[in-house]
Amino acid sequence: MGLTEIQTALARLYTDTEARSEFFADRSAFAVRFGLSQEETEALADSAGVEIERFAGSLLRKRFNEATRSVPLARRVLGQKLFGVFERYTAETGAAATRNPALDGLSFNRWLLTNSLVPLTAANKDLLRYEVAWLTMQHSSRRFLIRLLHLPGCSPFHRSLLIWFRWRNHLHHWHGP
Amino acid sequence: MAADAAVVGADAEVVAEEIKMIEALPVLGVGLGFRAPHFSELFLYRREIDFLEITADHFFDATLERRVQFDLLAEHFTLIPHGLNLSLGTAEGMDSEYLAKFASLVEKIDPPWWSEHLAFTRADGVEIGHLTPLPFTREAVEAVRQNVSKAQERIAKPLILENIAYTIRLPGAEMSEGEFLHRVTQETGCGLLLDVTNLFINSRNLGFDPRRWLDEAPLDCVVQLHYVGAEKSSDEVWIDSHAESVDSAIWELLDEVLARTPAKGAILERDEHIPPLPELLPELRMARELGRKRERWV
Repeated sequence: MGLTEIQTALARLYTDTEARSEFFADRSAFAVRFGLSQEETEALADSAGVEIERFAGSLLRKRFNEATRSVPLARRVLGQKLFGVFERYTAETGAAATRNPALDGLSFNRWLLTNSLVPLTAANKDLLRYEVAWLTMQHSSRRFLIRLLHLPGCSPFHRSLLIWFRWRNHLHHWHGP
Repeated sequence: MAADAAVVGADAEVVAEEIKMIEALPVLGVGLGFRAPHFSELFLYRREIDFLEITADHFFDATLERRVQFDLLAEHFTLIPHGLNLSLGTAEGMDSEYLAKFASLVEKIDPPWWSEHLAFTRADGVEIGHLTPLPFTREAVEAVRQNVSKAQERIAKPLILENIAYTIRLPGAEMSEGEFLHRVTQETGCGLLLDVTNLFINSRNLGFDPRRWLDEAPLDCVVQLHYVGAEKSSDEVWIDSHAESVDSAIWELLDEVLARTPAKGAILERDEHIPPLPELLPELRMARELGRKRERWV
């Protein structure tokens, strides 16, 4: 069993729901896809099958805890549905964790805004856009960002002008009326 | 036969060199894994803490607040940088950007040694998000050797490698974990960071005697220790959550390890349910007492 092949297969099994389903449903297809022999795939299933499932579950939970720590507004918007929606995000995007959990949170919020499977009110969409703007500016070297958003506590017809900008290496924020 | 004898002789020389290198490292004593909630209290209880281990990843691209913390910590404590994501066991090679950041941090700190895990966290461009075990094969030893060699080109300070907790037994093993550690330390010249709690957890989950494991491991290479309480999850699996106080079984194992290794320091790790620092002090005192009894530190 080549080290590169086994590590590639394991990385997918730990993080990718689709690869895991294939591994448990159709080992031959999995073996071909990852360059393993049928015997090697059987040996992996025999010695580590149950543990792979368990480990993948704990990885998802860990990733969820870390990523959603940086998106309190998404937590508020989704409430009890948060974990289920996050699970769907990981399954649908196939995106693995990043080294910076805040970027994972940012990517989750962006996915929420573009995905019609999760119905959001216009006000909640603006809350998520607000969070996306903060995270984008905190985790990039972008010079400025301007948004016109409906914010909580304001009339539903009022939108506030919000500006984020960098000046002398510091991030500043201006909140219009 | 003669060739085998020559190889054995060469191995013995490598081991002797390595032991000499380890003996030359300073004794640090008893320390703590730095966690931000303890920042101000650390200075209050400075006398109880001989050194700190910092998670290197938290100080790459540091915010202003982190940089202020770092400067103050470096001024008052010996710091040991500890990495999470160098992925020394990855067959496709390490992330050179991550290595460069690590090298720059080590240069700033000038520590007696630095540490990483004997694991892989990335393959085929996928970030796994956790430390995962290597197969105990010659090919994996070679992958670690090549990666460590590249790391050592960038970072001259001694590197020590940590044993991880794992529940997955990978097929195709060509040797035991003890032999794997022997080969890795011989091939790389690295010392070991023996995580006593990971050893305890693995022994419970995989059903082996931790003392037998110690019989097989290259104990002369142990430089530093980790310890914390272990936790049993709802599905009866022991996990390294770094969330519990140290219990008697782990104290006993730590005592045995201190008796059998030349450890220069021990770090208490807590990442979850982090109590105020005074609640951790009894565990630091206990480790100090055990180390004193075994004449590891004063």
